[in-house]
Amino acid sequence: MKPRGYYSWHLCRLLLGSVFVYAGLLKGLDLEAFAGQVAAYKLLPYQSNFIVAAVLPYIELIVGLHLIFNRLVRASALVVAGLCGTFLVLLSSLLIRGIDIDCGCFGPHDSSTPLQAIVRNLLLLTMAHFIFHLRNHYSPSSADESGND
Amino acid sequence: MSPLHFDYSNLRQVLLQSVVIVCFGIGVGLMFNFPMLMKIMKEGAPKGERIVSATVAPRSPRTVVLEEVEQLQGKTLRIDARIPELYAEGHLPGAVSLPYAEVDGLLDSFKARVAKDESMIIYCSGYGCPDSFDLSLLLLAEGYQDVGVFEGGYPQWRDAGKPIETDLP
Repeated sequence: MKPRGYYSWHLCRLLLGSVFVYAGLLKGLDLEAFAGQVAAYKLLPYQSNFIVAAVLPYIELIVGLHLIFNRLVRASALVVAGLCGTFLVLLSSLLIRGIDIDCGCFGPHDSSTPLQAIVRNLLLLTMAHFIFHLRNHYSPSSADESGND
Repeated sequence: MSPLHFDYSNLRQVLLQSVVIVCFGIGVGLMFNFPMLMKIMKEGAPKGERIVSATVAPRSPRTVVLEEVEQLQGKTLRIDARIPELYAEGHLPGAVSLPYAEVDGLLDSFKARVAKDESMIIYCSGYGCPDSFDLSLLLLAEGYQDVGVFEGGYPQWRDAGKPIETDLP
């Protein structure tokens, strides 16, 4: 019988992957609006907001799909952790600078406050940590395969 | 039950794979959005950096009609988005001047004076004037919650025979 952690680990992987695919799709569907939301953070020059908006949804989509299909899981979890860490810094900067905007984490219609987004990112970061560190514990056979992790 | 086995094997390989994933995402993103990015690079910022966030602010201002402007006197902040010379010649009673043309230099002091939850109505020179709407988007993007635009503006107010204040000597 599989240990309880085995199912938790795969559920976590699928959930985290789905969240990132969903977030990437919503942002990618309206890039100009997303660029505006990046600009609202007031950190980058004008054109750079569009560059971030052009690439971030694709990175999210790619890592999300990798997690869902159980491919390069540890590398994807590492990228997710990097993204969440960056988002946490950016969201904290909003709070420190007193900028009250919607976080834009799930596209133009996401009205989460920075504080809500910080809590959500901490949760996602915990999941990425869990997936990264226990990859070979709960999915050892596939991890041994070359290119699978 | 087996003890937890934290996996720190092949860290260099995993790190390399992560870099490849990110680079691949950047490559695909730049490739698919190349036309849009080239257009943005060529055209540059349309009207200062600020307008990017303003034009795509998630909220829109509400439209306010003459009667409502009148009823809300004293309960809401009236903002005149026209140039200071026009404001001095005549404005709605109690209105403060925040010309959109000079907003970059005035915004910080405005934010220091006006709370984010304060109700406000912005107007300019009537239906052909975009400044009140542009200013409302900017203020919404700055986090102001209750922003209205009086589209008829100063001309409609004046032509309706409503009281006018002037700052002329």
